Amino acid sequence: MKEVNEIWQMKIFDLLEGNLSEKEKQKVLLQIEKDEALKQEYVMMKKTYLEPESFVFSDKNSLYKKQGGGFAFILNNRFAAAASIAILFGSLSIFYFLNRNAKDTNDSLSNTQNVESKLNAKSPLISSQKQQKVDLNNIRIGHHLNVANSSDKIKNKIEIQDAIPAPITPKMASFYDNSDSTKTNSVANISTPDEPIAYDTAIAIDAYAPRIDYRKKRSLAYKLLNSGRQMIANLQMPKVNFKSEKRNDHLLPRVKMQISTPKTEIIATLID
Amino acid sequence: MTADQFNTCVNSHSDALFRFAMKNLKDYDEAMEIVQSSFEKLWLKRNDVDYERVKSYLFATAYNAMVDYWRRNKRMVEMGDEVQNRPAENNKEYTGLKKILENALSKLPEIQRTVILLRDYEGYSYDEIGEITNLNESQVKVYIFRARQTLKTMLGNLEALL
Repeated sequence: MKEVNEIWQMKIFDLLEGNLSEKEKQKVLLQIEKDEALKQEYVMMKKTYLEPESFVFSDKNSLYKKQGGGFAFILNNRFAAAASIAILFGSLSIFYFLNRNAKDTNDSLSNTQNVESKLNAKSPLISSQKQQKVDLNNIRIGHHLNVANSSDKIKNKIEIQDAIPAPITPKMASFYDNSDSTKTNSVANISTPDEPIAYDTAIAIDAYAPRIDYRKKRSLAYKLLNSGRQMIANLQMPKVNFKSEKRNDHLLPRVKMQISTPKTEIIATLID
Repeated sequence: MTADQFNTCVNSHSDALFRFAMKNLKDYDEAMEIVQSSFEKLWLKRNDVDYERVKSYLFATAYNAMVDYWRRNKRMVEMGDEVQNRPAENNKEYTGLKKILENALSKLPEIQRTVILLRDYEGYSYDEIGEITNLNESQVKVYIFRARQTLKTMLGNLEALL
């Protein structure tokens, strides 16, 4: 087949792009009609135009703003990452102090009660039975300070620390709706309605960390892990897991801190 | 820009912006992130950005974010790491013009792919594409021409094989 020279390639391109005047257009079209090679070139060039294709961004709700300049759900990433870490440390501090109070009170109880409390705490089944006394869905901070006896007080304090309400922004909540299965599974472990701290903290860090420079983030992650490890060691929590993962699509460290308390499991992940 | 106007922009442009990022990166998470961060920047700059030019601003912001992503990924590849989620995959079988074109598009240089996407999907003029990509009108036209020439050759070769 005859090769079409670049001048004609450009003319055909201009024709398809709409760059020619009506007169030039007619002239080129006439020439194309006469020449089979030009016709072939025209047909092939026309095939390079992309056909309309619709995509839907499923996370629009997280972008909407409230009228009157209300709280902006979309935060500066660096600020948000820092805030997320603050949330995590805040949560851990609450765990620490509440647990310490529980421990202090526990010292005054009999050994039997102590063992029973620990056993109950380790068993999700028994733990859920405790919810018959306190409806976790209706828990608000301070509701459980007026409990009947010291034994209940300890148990309820455990419940309180698991149920301190934490705000979940639409962005945070919807982030995992569109995430990969690994992340969804991580959250599925902790996103029960009575465990908002864990849900919020894990999502906050995971969702907002991506934009930080990975070296800074890695450094932050290890600081976080070391502090967390020390804090958890002081708490003597029943199960603490730390693990580091590598995220395939970014090739950057995905550091995961997993803290399991009797009823709550926090999985804080720093990823790129 | 008011919150209402911003929300209108979300409704009008987020799908197109997501398509632009997805077609360029082939990475769902990254595309979502780029759309989020582009709107985030728009909101932060809402008092400076002309409402009439919001779409261009969003696409320019997304494009810059993608350039960063490509640089970051290239650095990683140079460091010897393995990229598992990169856009172009050579081992897939493509059938039908749309699939062939999709495959060919993913193999174009990033700038050529970007100008083609902006031209064909968004209907931007050369001038507008130039504003988004920091190129002049002539450069845009040349990139589009080269991209179409490359696509045409790839289509010809692939069609001949099928």
